[in-house]
Amino acid sequence: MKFKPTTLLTKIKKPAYLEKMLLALLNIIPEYYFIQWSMGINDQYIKLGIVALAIVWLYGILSKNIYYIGFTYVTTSIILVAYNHDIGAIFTMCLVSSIWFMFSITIVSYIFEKGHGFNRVFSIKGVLITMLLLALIYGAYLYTAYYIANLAYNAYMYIISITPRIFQGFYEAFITTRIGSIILLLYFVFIVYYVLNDYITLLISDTVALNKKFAINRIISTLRNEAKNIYIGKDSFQKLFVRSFFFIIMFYLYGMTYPLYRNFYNFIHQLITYLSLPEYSVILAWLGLLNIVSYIVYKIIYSRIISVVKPSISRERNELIKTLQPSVWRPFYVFLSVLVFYVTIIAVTSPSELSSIIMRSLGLSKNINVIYQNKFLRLLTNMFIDYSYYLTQWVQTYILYIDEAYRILTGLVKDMIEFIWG
Amino acid sequence: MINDEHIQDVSATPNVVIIILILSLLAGIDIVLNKTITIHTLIIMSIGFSLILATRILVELSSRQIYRLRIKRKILDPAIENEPIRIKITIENKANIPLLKATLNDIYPGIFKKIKGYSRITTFILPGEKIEFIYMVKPVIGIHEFKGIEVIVSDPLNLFNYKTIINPERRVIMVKPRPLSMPKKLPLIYTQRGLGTGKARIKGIGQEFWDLREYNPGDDYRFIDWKSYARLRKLYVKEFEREANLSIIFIINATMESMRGILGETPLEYMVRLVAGLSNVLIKRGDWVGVVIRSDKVLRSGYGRGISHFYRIINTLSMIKWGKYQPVQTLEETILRETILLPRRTKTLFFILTSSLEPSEIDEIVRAYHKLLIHNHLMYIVYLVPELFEKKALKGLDAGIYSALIFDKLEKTIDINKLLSKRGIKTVSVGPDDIYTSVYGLIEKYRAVIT
Repeated sequence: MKFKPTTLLTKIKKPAYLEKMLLALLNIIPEYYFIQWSMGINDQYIKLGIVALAIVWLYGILSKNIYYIGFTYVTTSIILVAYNHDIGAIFTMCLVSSIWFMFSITIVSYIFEKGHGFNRVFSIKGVLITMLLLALIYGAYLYTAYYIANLAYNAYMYIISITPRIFQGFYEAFITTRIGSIILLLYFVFIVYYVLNDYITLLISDTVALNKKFAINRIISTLRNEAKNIYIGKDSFQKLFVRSFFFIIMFYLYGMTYPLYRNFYNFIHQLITYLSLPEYSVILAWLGLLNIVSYIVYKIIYSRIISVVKPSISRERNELIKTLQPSVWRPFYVFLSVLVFYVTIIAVTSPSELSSIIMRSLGLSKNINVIYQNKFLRLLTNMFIDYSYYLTQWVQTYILYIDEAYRILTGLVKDMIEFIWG
Repeated sequence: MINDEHIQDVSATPNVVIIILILSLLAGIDIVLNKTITIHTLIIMSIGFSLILATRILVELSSRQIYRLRIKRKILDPAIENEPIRIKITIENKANIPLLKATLNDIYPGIFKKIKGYSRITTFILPGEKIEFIYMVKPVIGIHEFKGIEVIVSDPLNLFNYKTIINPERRVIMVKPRPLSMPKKLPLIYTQRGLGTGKARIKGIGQEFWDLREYNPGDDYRFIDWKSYARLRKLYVKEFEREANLSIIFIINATMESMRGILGETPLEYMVRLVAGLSNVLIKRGDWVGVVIRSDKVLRSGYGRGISHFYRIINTLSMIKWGKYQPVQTLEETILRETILLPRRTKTLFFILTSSLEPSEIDEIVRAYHKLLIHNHLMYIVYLVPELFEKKALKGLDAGIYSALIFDKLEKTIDINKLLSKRGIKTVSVGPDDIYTSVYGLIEKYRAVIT
């Protein structure tokens, strides 16, 4: 057997090694700047850390792994920002160098991942078309982003001006922090993107760039798919509509169940003090429970909500069904039987007062201060009067509680947003 | 054509995650330090996101154009085993959309060995451009399929990619075997006996002159020797020596066991090479040869003589399929079916080349042998010991250790030989070095017997 010594030189001459060396050379300048800037910091440990990060960077280059490179750049940037460097400049540098690394991998692969006997027949027309296309697409997108940002800003200013007090509280809490506005903006951008992606891009790409027959087929198939999606209820707008109901349900369930929570407040308070729990824990547990309950409610009424936006196709009716008795009358019969039962009891217990009761209920006799001789009737009347008296009180307290509930929620959201985003 | 099963959506790579993370970190740190987001950060973020989205659209557009690529695969060299073949791929972008970064990977048969060049390249293909590249592989005997060209389209930053497989027209390659050449001194052993190469010492219709005899009524006029008549005034008839044409059938048992071992040295490849080599020699001598391969389907070359039949045999041998499969017929069925299909009513030699002799298979062979005897045919079993073929690839100390390890197995083969010879079946156990000599010896010995 022959023994071939592998020297460093023979290794370097291999394409794999050359590739990595070229990649390192292309990326050394941004890393050099990062190191140079961080060497100005008068802290030995930080300097050691930077050296360790440079080793990580080298490993990232050798393994062509974006995660290691990204980690190095981001960590170095954070350290530099912590030592009073300009945030914008440093992070722009970080972003640009990461993008440059991605691009340099492509350059290297263009150079080295070529076949034996590689040959290319250039076309100037192709270069021109490419440049035009790139300019068009990227230009359109930058313009769209700018336009949508303005649109979103105007839209939420308008929403603030017209919404009632409770909602306004939420919007205020959300929009006073800039991050909220960015989230809203991104939300709009993504909606536009999905619309573009799902409906418009496919049509443009297929009608402009392809032959007519294919384009027509594509349009027909897209329309068919869309129709099918709408019929099933899987269209993105339908999905959005249905899912928004989940939050509406949760919002209302919160208000409805708060009085319940308020009534058991003393008991819960005692329980908290006994278990020495923070007060927030109960609220959070309650919100979690609410989430589950509202999800269950959402799932129960899902078919009803989706039926609103889902087209229903009427089928031919079976003539036999028409002749069958509809079941609408069943509650009426129940109600009637209860009434008959009630009248019978009164008639049995005090037949003398039955006529006056019927006259009063029909509004023919206006005598109010009647004291019934029958014990059963007296009890029933008193109970009804008490119920009417307390009902108004209950409704009042309920409304008060609901107001309190939403006030608390608004405060909580405000606190949370301020805590997270400042 | 694009395979429907491989169609996927455009998917994001980790690079997108990294960019979004850096952007959100920028915003987060800005808010923490400045209590609000600055215009500078806002602009960078909006540019970053719009670039990501535009890139997504670009990749989406190019992914829809892949099927308009005109891809051709050309095999530049004849496919013979161990002879490197050059495969040329040509790609032409017929669409108006550029592929800014396209990785093209020709998925050649996994059993082949790549020698030179790359089967996978990364490049950009602008509208109307044409690209070609070549790579070299070392093929293996048999029929092989190219699984298509994998195309991965992405953008220069590799933010999104799209993968699909395209099948160019030519997909199947049939690699022909290289016939085993006859050892130099081998013909001498069988010709020094004075038998000639193909003489049978039996009179009949042939080329070689045998004798003259007096004419009897009813003899063919063609054979009257008019020169003798002119000399002696008596009719004489020429008699010729009958040619000793054998009829031989090789049955290759292409089971999983025969594909075991180191590629290039497997028993199956040796079987194919041996059959190719022997049939070359035999056909030149005017013998009748047929080849049957028992694999996932039964491959038959037919039964014949002449150089065109030799090419038929080679083509049949190059249709052997590698891989896991269950043979469609039992060995017994294959042998008996071949007996029925014989067009020539002569004594035929059946050579069964196998590298697996399980007890059930031995029973089958014995049963088939008894049926062959009724029809006056002969059967030989050539047992290619798989361990010996594995050993051939080893050298030095490794070979020594391996031969010690396989000693038990080799003893077992002797037992099998004894068992079969008890039943009256001639068996030879061979390795890679003596395979030709042994089988050729069997044929020549038989030829000597019939004289």
